[in-house]
Amino acid sequence: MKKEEFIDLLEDIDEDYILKAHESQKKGKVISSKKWFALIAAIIILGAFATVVAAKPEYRIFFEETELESEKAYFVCSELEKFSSGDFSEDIKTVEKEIARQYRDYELYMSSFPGHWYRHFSSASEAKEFIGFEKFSVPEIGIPERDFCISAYGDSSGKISHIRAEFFYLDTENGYLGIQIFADALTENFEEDFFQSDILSEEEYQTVRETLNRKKTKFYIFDGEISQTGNRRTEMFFVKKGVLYYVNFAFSEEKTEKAEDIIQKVLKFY
Amino acid sequence: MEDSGIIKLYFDRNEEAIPATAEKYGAYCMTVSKNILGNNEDAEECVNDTYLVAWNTIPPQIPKILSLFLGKITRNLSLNLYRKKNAEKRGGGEYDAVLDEIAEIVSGKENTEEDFERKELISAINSFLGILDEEKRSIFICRYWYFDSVEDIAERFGKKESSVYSSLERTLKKLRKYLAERGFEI
Repeated sequence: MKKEEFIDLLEDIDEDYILKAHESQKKGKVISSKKWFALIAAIIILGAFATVVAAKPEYRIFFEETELESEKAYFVCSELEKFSSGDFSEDIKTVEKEIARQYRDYELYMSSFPGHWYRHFSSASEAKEFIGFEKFSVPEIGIPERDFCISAYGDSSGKISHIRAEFFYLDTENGYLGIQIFADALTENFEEDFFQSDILSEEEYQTVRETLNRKKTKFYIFDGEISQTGNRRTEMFFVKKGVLYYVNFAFSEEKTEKAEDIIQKVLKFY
Repeated sequence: MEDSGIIKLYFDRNEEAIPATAEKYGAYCMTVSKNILGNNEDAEECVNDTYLVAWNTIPPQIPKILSLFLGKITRNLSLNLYRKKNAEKRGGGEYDAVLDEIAEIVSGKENTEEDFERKELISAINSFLGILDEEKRSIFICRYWYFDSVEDIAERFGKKESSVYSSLERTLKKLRKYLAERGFEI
């Protein structure tokens, strides 16, 4: 074997080893850690000035005014059910140990920020089986499945406060249609009063419309255009069974009809 | 911005994906590229090309780990550029020094292995890396995957440069022996 071939061969070695080695390269990056803490502090301070603009007795979405690059913007906030650990499978409990280990082994400048665990799955059903959480649900989308990921966020004792499921679908035959579904569930270890999931510009906020389906689920929807490509997008937020859902559709003109069919399917399903 | 947010921008075909990627991973990709190429100008070219490749491949690809996805592209582009520009002379990066070290364990013959054998060989290298302690493994990868200089590695791991050189030399020899015992002549 030639030397160059051996170097090329190493490209495909175990990714965990490459990442672990990369962590050692982060030594001295003080600013990024400071930025992280500053962001958390800013979110906590902003939380104290929350302005509720919609009212529902429980498990609701509301918008909180903030500022983004000197422009008015809005956090998407929600009050969600706080589930007990018994609502999840035994598998997800093993994640607690892994999160606790991340904190235990954490070395400033040498490790990734601890408290976030994730795993990718080959199908939506496999992801749902792992998590064992009945209240995460996704309709039959009818376009190819691309990726599925479960994330968990926890503290130094391993207690999980937030679990997120991400489902990706993509159809590029004769046009472009991409769909992402994010489902966020909080646990009893989540100590804040509400959950901030996204931020909307003033322009996006002004186009948000509310829709109630036959199952009395309230959807917050806004449409837009993706600059440069001209693709359209439709995004929706809603709370179902105490879980926050965010669904993002991006589609080209050729796929408009198909996208709208799936949007209707989603609106009926939840 | 979180990685999922950056991937969403690619997914939406929103060109903001590029500056978002550059802001978060530009420095990382520059380090990988500059280690190989040894100068800023070529490294910047490779990093810009990395964003273009990312734009053209996400979707359909959805990177599981965005940093690694970009790092692999940058490494690959940088190696290709280096080989193209330095076919007959030595450049200023770590590449030639790394090749000199690798020369100790490879035969230098044309590779005739089939693709399946390549996979088995990678699997064997992974097994070998798995039995190393974490420090030796990271030193090996910093040198031969990231092309970090021995000086940087020594500083990072609190060692003398001579210790890093001997760690690398011993690891390479052990790797050759490990692979030979399993029927791989590299």
